[in-house]
Amino acid sequence: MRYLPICLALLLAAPASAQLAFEPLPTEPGEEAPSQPIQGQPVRVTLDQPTESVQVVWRPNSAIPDTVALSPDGATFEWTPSRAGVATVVTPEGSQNVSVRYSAYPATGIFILILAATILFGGAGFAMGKLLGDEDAPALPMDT
Amino acid sequence: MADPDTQTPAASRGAWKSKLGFILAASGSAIGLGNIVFFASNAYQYGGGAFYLPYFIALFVLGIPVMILEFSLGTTTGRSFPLALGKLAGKKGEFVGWWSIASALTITMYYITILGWALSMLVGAFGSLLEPGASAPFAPFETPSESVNATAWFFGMIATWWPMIAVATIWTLTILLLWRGTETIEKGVRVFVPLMWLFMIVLIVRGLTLEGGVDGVLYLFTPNLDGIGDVRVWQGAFAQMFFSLSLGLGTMTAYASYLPKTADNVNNSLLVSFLNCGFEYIAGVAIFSMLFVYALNPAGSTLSLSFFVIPQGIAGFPFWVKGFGVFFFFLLVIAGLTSAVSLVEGMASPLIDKLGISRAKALSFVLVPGILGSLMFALPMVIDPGLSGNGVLGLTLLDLVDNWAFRYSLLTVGLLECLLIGWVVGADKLRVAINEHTKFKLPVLFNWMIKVIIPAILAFVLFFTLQDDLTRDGGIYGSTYDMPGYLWLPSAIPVLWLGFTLIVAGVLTSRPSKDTASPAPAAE
Repeated sequence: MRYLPICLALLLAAPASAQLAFEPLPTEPGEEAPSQPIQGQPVRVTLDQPTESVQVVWRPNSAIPDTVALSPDGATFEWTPSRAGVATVVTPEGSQNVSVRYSAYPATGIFILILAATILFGGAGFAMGKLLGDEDAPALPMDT
Repeated sequence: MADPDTQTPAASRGAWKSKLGFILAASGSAIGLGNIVFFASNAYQYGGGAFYLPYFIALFVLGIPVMILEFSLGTTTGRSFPLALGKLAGKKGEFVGWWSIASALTITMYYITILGWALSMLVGAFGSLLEPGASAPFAPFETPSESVNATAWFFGMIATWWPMIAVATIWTLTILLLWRGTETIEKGVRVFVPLMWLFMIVLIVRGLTLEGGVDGVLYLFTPNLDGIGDVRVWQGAFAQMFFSLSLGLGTMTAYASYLPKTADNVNNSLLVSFLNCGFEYIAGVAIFSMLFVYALNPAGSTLSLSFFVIPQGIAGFPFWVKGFGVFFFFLLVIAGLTSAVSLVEGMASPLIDKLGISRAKALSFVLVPGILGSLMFALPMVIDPGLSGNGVLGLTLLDLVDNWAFRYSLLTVGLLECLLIGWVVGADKLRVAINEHTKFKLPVLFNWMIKVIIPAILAFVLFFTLQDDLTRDGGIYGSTYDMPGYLWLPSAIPVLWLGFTLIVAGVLTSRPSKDTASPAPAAE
């Protein structure tokens, strides 16, 4: 379980103090701003203190994290997330997780979702059908 | 007179009353605590949808063939794991089987402790778990939390004597479910396994109806191919499949030994494997939808995700927070309980076979060390800051034991059973025996999978796991843990575990057998 390192990492991942605030902005004047950050749409990030160094780690704590450096010019800056997913925004004072929603549902994700479900539940259904139709083994009834 | 090959096993050993009972019991055994969060965590860490490529390869190349092998050991011999291996491969086979059972006993000890904690969290979900004000008697949780803090609540809970009562309760439930063998197991799984699916579906509906929940699900399935060439991804997928299907523990063989010899092992293996992986699939959907909405990191262990992260997500639900908390922990308890029952049955069954003793006596042989071990892991003083200096010695102990007993024994037993069946018994003999009673005839490739491909995969996973454990922390696994006065533990635990399991295996193998079962067809 590799309990300790993960336990400590998750202590950091638990709901953090409002050190950073993410405020999605409308893409067009007059439009309503989304409630959560969306891929390709600007977000106003507010920090506790002005800093020159902010990093965004996509897929944090994974085997394949990807770090992108941002250059804020003060305690508030605008950031347009280029992708969707879970990210950790890291400042010299700490870090906070943010989830960025998809601008359009990804076709590959939908495809794999359906394919995996078809294999697993189709396979289970097929095997169950064979079990129900198995009349060659009368030693054990299907159900009691 | 009926053909003895089509009869169910001797009534004294017990026998499933129906195919459905067996399928529910075997799938309930496979679906445990790990299935609920482990797959989602691995998928996140190894590239989302991209992880499905090694996962499905692991299912078809490793998981299903080994499950066919373990079911067949049970049905062809009518005996549980050690005696089945012994009948087919002689004393060395029996030794491997008993070693697996001794490891299973070690695993059961702390597994039931974890279940006791889950039961305590279930009780807590009715009360203060999902409310502010949680604290624990050591840093950094001394000050009551201002908001919901499941981590602080958990540490506060395990620092009390309550988990001892919870552990005793879980053992009592396990004993009740095992009291009349297959009869009571079947009654239990007929209630618990459908409930598990129902509760998980409720959590899915809740997760998907949260704003952004669907995005979380698509994040789970959208592939990130950056890591697909990384050896750790493949190692993770193969290990996950083996652990997920509860292979190498002897439980599947014990359950299959209560089936008639005419049972279709291939179809049963397909069904149980697909149900197990299907449950992981829907669990991933439920968990990702929830964690994504609340920007919680899905990477973590079974314990940390189950006890810290997911309750934190549930606390963010807009309504009926306690109800969903109760649902989730009840799900954990029943998923774990059906697995614990199979673990204990997997140990009791060979004792009955080998020593010719009653079920009650065999159960007591397992329960006495099992309960003592579980209570030891649950003792509040092992997490007393005064003992370890940092308040986490108990968890460190559990982590160290888990690392060696669980990760190594299952994979090693899988490797050895394939080599024994493949090279000593002859994989083709078993394949022919399986094909007599299945609609899906196994091709000759099955022989080579058992003899070469699967052992090579398991050796590869074991090698990289061991290399990682010996080098990653700059020493043996756990050597960097902050345990003043207990720095010998990381080296001592694997030695103690190996010593204990090898002695138990040696003693039980050398005991004269009172088993009178006729030799299995595959061995003739």
